[in-house]
Amino acid sequence: MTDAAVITILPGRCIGAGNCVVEADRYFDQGDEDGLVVVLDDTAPASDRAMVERAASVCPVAAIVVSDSGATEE
Amino acid sequence: MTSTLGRILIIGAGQAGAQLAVSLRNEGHEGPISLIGDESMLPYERPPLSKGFLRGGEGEPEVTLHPADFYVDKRIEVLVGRSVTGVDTRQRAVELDDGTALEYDQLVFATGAAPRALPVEGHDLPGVMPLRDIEDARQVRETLKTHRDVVIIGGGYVGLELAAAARERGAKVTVIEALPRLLARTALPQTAEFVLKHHEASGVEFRLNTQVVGLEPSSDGRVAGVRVDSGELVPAGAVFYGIGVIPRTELAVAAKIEVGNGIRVDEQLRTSIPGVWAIGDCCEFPSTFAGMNVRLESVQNAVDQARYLAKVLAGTPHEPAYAAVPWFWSDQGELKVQSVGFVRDHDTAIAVESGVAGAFSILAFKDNIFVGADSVNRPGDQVQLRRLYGARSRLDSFTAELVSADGFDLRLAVKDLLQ
Repeated sequence: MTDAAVITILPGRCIGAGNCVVEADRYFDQGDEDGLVVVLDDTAPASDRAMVERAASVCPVAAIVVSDSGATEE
Repeated sequence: MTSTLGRILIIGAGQAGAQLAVSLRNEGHEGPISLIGDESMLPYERPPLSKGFLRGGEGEPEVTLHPADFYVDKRIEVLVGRSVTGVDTRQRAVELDDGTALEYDQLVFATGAAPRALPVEGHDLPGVMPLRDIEDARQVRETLKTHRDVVIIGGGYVGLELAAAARERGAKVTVIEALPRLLARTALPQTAEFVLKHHEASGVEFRLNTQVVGLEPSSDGRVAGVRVDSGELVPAGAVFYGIGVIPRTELAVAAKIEVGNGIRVDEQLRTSIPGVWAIGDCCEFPSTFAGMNVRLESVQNAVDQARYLAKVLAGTPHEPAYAAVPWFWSDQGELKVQSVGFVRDHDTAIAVESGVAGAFSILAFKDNIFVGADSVNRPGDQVQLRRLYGARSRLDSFTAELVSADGFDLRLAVKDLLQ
């Protein structure tokens, strides 16, 4: 059973590769001015978790962290 | 193509090797994956080593890509501090430096590249160092704490990033470049000129068109100066060099795998021997964009080739040929330089200003075909330019004339052309 996910971006790491946008454009975009990642929706239901994890795994600088939605509410 | 249960062995645990391991799992490969790296650390990012890593401050900046448990979760075996000493492609096995033999079904070379050595006397004096791996970067970082006279040999991206970092740390910096201009291999002349002025304004001195004749020691045996062809001795408490890299192909050569300017692969990244593949800095591949075989040294190429090969090996749908848009970036203090495409061979270069001083893009054309672009402090432009470049074969109307016309707007043009 997979859980819903929360997406966080580690500050200062993004280089604007855009790989995340290709994998999951419902959740990620690139800013017009700086080309850097913009999170469109920082929570993903369990059904989308694999997709956002895939987006995180193709980030060349590992700037995207996907965690359990429950775990971040401590 | 391959069994999803076969064992995939990856030689080299850099950006390419690590991405391949991760992407293989993404693509559903279920068999064992082993990643063998000869450095002592888990896979890490190299780009920060010549940038943020060199800043002052306590503690070392974090550069590892993923923590150890990440690989455990994905059932990726990471063997660090181990090197491969031999490859037997007939038996499909490799031998490690501790004598262990490992069998494979598919073998991937992701061996990267090593810094080219300084071909002059005194290259091995204390205080003289290249910058390629994290051990080099630690040395440079330490050295910057105490040495105020820094000479950098090589006016490419590594050299210029080093120059910016050393200036930021308060060093007196001189960059020596053998060619008449900076960034000769990678950027447009106009970009190089702007970058030169920028660094000069921040206090970096340059000796262009200058050959290093030798490095000379002080009485304590440490480097004291760099002798150049004019006869001048440039004083140096430390010498950092970045004069290019050499692909690490020794193992491949020994295994009788075809090697040119890198391990030679076809459009699907396959070497001349069945079951053996190569990705990243170590390989030479046919580029549809360049129209010839190229070897690229970039994170983009490492990651995109890894992602492509993962699909090929896992047998998931993929393009018939690897054809990712080549792009590159460099941070040099306040300056962010980005490039797309292959700009070396062009006949027309057109600047597109942003209205903000020091922020612009330069688009290059050859025979009215868009061949690439540099952007300085215009990362938003690069996003558009990569899209344009990727689609250029069907963009007959994206010409030098269009770009030079009054009121040309990159964003609108992309919207218009790519709709």
